[in-house]
Amino acid sequence: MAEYKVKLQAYAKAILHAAKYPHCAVNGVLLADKEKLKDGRCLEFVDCVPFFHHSLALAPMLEVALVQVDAYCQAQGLKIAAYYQANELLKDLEPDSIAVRIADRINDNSSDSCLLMIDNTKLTAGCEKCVLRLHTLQDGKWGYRGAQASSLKLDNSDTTLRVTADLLRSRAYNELVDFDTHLGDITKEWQNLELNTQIENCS
Amino acid sequence: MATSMDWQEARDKLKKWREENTRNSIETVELGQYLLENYRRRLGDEVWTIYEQVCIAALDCGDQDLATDIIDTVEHNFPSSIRGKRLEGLQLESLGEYEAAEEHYEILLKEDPANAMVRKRLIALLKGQNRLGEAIKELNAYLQKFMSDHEAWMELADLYISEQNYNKAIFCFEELIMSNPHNHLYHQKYAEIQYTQGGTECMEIARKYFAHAVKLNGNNMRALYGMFMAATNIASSPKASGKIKKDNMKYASWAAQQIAYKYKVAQGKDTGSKMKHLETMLDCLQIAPAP
Repeated sequence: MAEYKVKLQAYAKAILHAAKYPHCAVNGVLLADKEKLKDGRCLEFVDCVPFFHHSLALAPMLEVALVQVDAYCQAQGLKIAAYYQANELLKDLEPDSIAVRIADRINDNSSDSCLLMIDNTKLTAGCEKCVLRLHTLQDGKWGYRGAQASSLKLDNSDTTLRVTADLLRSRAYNELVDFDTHLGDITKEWQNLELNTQIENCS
Repeated sequence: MATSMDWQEARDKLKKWREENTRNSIETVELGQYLLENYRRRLGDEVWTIYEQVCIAALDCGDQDLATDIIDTVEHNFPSSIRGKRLEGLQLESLGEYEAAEEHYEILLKEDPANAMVRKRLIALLKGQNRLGEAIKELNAYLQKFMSDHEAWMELADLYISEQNYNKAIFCFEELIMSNPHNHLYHQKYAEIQYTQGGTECMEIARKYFAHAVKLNGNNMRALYGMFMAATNIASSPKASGKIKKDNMKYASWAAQQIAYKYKVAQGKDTGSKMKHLETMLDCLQIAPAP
């Protein structure tokens, strides 16, 4: 089984996405470095593209987002390698059929990809713990293998958590643009380049 | 920050958020507290609306103390108001005391059986407990009585979508389009559901409604993208006849042109690198012209 490592920029943006829309479900994808994908069993997520907060279950805009991000990845030497979702209800952390369907589709192109659910109850201002729950594909089914068995790690865990907490405190989520926001106003870009700089400056 | 803002500005901001249903709960609490602490007398009757708004925002942020203070003040001044008592129910909900909240609302409903606000809270309670089947049933019953409640039709459609019951979601949007035929968002959403449903016939309908949404509002990017995607999909279907292929390719390339133009305008002179992935996307979806 592959190991997964989440870098600061990828983690922080996914968390800020969930924090920006506490009252809705959100989803998006994590991008891994293509070069590093080849040589090891460790997937390193270097970036995150937040997708939607309106309706996650409709196909057309999801297809547009996936195709666009794919084209972006090709230019940058990256690959879509994980799907993440935070459910609408606080205590609900099971992937629904939509999550499974999208994760399946990503898996068609990236065989070591995974599905990450955000545990809303752990999403506190202090960010003490990693809030991602790793689901992997085994025998054609996505499943959570328990916290002990989890091969998901935050890169430089202490710093990543501390910086994410700082970003939440400074309300950096106001700057975050997801694909939904982009479709509403295309002058705002889902690459979040300014936010990336802000994240870098915090670390 | 709030302290340097003059009070009229703060009041207008809250009013705008109220009217647009913006859920800026943290900011609402900050601005609201500043206004209520310093300028309560100058707000006139609007003060009560602001109390209500801040109370809901406080519950959203989990600030139970502030919410309790406000509820006490409101109930002291309007002891028999159902709108005031609704806040109490909302607090029970935010504390996760669903049964107590349900009881509370049932009592209010006995006093005023036609109260839409309270009935909707009872449905929201079911949704909050992930009892979607029951929520759908109750919402249907509600809509029999309050047929012109657009918000409720949208909510019902969303519930059906999350159950992947697209046919029923489509029905909800047909109701919405009939009562409001010039709203481009309804056409766009209707098309999105048809597209999700899939199949040749639905894809045709999707393309038509996306096109109609574009006609009603040329700046609707979702509709433009949708029209492009649906037309591309139809044109690349092996079952499509030569004429259908040709027509749909024409629609797709028109939509692609529009999309490219919108990005050009939005990004001004700086189009170079950012346009690339968009072009790649449009290219890789575009099918080679039929011989």
